Amino acid sequence: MLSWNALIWVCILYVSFLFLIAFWAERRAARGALGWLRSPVVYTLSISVYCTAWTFYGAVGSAARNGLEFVAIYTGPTLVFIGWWWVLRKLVRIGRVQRTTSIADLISSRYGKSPALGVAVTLLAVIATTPYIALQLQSLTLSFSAFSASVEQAEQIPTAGVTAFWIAAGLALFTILFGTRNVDANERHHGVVTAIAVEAVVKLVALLSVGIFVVWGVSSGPADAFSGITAEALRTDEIFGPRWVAITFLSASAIICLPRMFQVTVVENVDERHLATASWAFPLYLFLMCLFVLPIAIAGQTLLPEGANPDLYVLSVPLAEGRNTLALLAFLGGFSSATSMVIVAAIALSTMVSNHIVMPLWLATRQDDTKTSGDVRSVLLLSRRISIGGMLLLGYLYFRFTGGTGALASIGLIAFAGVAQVLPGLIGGIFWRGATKAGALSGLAAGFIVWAYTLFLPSFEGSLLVSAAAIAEGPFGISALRPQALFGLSGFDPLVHSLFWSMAVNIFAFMIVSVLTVPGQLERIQGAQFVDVFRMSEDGPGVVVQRSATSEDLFTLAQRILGPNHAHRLFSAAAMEQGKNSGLPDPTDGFIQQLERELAGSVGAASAHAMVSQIAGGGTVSVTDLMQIADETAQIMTYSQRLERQSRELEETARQLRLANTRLTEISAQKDAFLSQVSHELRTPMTSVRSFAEILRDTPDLDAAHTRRFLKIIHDESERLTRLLDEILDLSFLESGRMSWRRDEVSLTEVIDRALASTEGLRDGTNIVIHRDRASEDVIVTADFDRLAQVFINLLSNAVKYGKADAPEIRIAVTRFGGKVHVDVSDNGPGIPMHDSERVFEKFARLGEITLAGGAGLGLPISREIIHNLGGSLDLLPVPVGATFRVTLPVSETASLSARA
Amino acid sequence: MGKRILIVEDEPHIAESLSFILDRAGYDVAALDDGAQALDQIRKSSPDLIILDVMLPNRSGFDILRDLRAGGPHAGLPVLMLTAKGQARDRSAAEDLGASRFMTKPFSNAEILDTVSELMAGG
Amino acid sequence: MDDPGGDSGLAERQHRQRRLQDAALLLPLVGAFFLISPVILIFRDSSGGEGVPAVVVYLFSVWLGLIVAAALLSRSFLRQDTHEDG
Repeated sequence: MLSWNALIWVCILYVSFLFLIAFWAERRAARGALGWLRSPVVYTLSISVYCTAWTFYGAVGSAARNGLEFVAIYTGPTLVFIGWWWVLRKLVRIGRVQRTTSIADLISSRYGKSPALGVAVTLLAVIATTPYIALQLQSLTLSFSAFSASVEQAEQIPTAGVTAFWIAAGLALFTILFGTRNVDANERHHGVVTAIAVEAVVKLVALLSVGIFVVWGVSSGPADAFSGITAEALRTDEIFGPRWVAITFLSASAIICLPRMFQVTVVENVDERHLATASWAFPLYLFLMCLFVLPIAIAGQTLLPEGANPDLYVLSVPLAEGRNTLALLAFLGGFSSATSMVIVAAIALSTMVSNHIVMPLWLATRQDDTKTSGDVRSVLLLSRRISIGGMLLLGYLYFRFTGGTGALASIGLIAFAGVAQVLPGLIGGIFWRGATKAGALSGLAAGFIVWAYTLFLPSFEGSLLVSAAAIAEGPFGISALRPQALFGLSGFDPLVHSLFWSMAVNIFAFMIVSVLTVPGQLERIQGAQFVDVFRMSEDGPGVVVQRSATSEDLFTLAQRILGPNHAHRLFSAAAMEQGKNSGLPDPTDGFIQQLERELAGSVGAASAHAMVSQIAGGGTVSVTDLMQIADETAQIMTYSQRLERQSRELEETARQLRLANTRLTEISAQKDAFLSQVSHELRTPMTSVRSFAEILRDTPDLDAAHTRRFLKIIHDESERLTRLLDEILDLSFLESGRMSWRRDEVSLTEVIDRALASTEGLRDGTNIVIHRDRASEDVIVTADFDRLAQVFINLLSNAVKYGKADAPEIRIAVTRFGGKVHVDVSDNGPGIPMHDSERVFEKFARLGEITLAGGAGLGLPISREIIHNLGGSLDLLPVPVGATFRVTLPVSETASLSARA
Repeated sequence: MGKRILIVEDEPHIAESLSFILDRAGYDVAALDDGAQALDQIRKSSPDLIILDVMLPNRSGFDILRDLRAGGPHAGLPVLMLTAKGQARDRSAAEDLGASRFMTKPFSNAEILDTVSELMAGG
Repeated sequence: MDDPGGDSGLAERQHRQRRLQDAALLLPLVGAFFLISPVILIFRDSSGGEGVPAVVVYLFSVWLGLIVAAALLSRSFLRQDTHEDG
């Protein structure tokens, strides 16, 4: 027998035990040694927070009242989990990629980081969860009284209100201690999750123990346990109708939308693969929880006196049978169910309240302050702690206000129907790109109003807003507006009725408004990120969410959108304006406006506004998230630009390759032609040498005159060979850069004189007229005299050789142009076709079928090489008559100075 | 009177050496350095044999050979082609066009004389 | 297959993956058919007599069957995952 005080001590011991587990798990997590804390088993067990006191006590109560109906509350989640591939997998991935902190955060984030939606979902969650928390307090209080009433005198037991208050206070303390230890980037709470997992084991073991005791201890097996049960007791005729489908749907949507379920399933998920395990393990847990519900209900009805509360059968059956230890275990199971739900719900809701309501308000009131990150973190923690206390206080007040009336199950279903209003916006948001913020808000608001009017308010039975008369007759007697028979749709279960209308209104408003409105830029980006989450690239993990706006943040944002150089220029210019010589400018209003305008040029005004205003205060979306948007936008923009550029580059490359290929083919052909040419040029003098040498050898009677002449020919042809070899060597030396150069002050007049003198022999017997203006030639250049002369000799020889005309002329014109001097050597011959204007400078190029007597076509390439080495250029000018080669040389500076002086 | 030989060769020294050795061997030798005048000269002087260089100014030896073989009273004249390039391609082109012999520079004088007398005997 | 790492092996794996995904998408639909469609009404009245009522046996059997199917699917997914990782 346990006294009241002993019961309290058991509770305190149990909570301390949980506390130690949570503490130990936190320590391990902090050391990074998570080990089995990260296992899929712990994940699955933490999801069993779905089974609250409502399940632990209420399922049996429901079974006693409504037969098999309770099963639908567990088959809905079963369908969702075995169908994890549809929705949960996507939610978990989105949650990880977007670093989602709560379901309100997810929805707000999906619809363009809308603060309004965040607030709406948060308010809805608070309103729907408050009765649920009250429900836990109520069942805990009931179980306390049921347990202790049987052993103690009534006057020693505190009233229900006092018990509930202390329970609420204790739970608040525990939750604050472990739920708000840190502002973790992904809002994970390893300590709490581990404690919840332990509680999950306790409640399962407790319920199974009671069940086994009932089936094999009280009865003699399953057949015996079910004997006497009738189809009427199972309500099979009534329940397998719309209500059955409605409850399955509600429980299925609840497992997705309930803030605490979202918290454990999505936010606390550390590994997507755990979901695969939970897909069968969690339904199995539910299955086991339900397995003995019916036998316990039947046993309660047969063993206990008429009028005993069916919601307490789990506790009262073992007590009635005198099994105190079992009863204590059952009590701890119920205690675990209630506490785990309250703790997780309070954490989830406090996160939502602080992130979506408190922080925006706080930031709005402190617009001008410099926001340091420590500042924000402490405010966040404080607001969460206060929110947790507030949630439990609300639950407690609700419990006191409603006086603990109403069966547990009905309160639970009302809450389910409330949070189900989030479902259309959520599912639409992750599968339908066209869903818009306005649509989601409209659907949520419309659904919420219908739910509140048709289900939530009537549950107070006339004590809140809607009077009992209005419930029965309709407001102001308008029967079409009766909350439980809207537009005269009567004869339905109120839950089915409310669900039908609220969901219909919600879905239609959501879809129609979505179709009619145009999403903002941010919404579109986020929509794409959510719907195509499996195709989008992922961000690296481990970035800490920072909820403060500093110049560094703005600078980083600007860098990501404008590029480092532009951002740097912009920020340093602004810093200069503010009178700072170095560092970043202060985030003044003026500067922020300027920045916004700059950003608008890149990402459009709407996005820029959203980004800058949110980074600079007024919003709670984290800077990291904004960076991601910025990256996405920049990526999309650069990607399309890059594609364009790449195709252009590809075309250009292909064109260049084609050109190069043509060129290579030409060069190859030229090389062949050249080798042939060299062969020809070498063989020709050799032929003469050999032939005459043979004549001299084979003709002993040759006269002296012939002998002398033939020897001279042999000598001349040998010289020709030598000259040819010299030219080839000359060019290869020039090209290899191993030539040594003299740098003298050289007079152009002298150079041209020398060149003309050298080519005099070539002009003998021709009627070529040379035109030159000696005065203009009085220019000094820095050059190697012999080399420069070589160039002019070559040009003049070419002019003599190829400038064939009836009255051939060669003109040498010198003009000064800035610091340069042009020397043009022109003939009036047939000229050179324009398409050959560059080829003439190639080695051994032959123009047409002209044989280059006395040379192998190396003259021009050598000349050009020489002029390049002298810092000038040699070109063929496009002229209408004849050929004009222009030598451009830099004028010697010292010489021109001295000339001036 | 010896048989007449026309040398078409633009390199004066080679033409001179050829003329010298053929002259001494008893032939009646004439030399020409321009490809464009070759056919006219052949018609005018109707030589018994032509020594034809490939690389000539204005008209290549191949073109001259082709026109010569195309018809007329001198279509069957023996032609000894000379080239300084010495590529197999040139040799086969020359044979296709109907050159009687093809020799690569530098040649030996004895070889020239042997070939010429052979062609004179055959022709 | 002679060459499990080759194209045929890859195609085989992709085919398996697609079938697994299809099965994962199908399973909840099958579950919904057995749990919330009027099929359930077939067992409504056959509860007379001794022992556990048929509708209870039906509900819990379907439930357990779904769990087993989900467990098999999940095992295949996880095995495939480790294959791909390794």
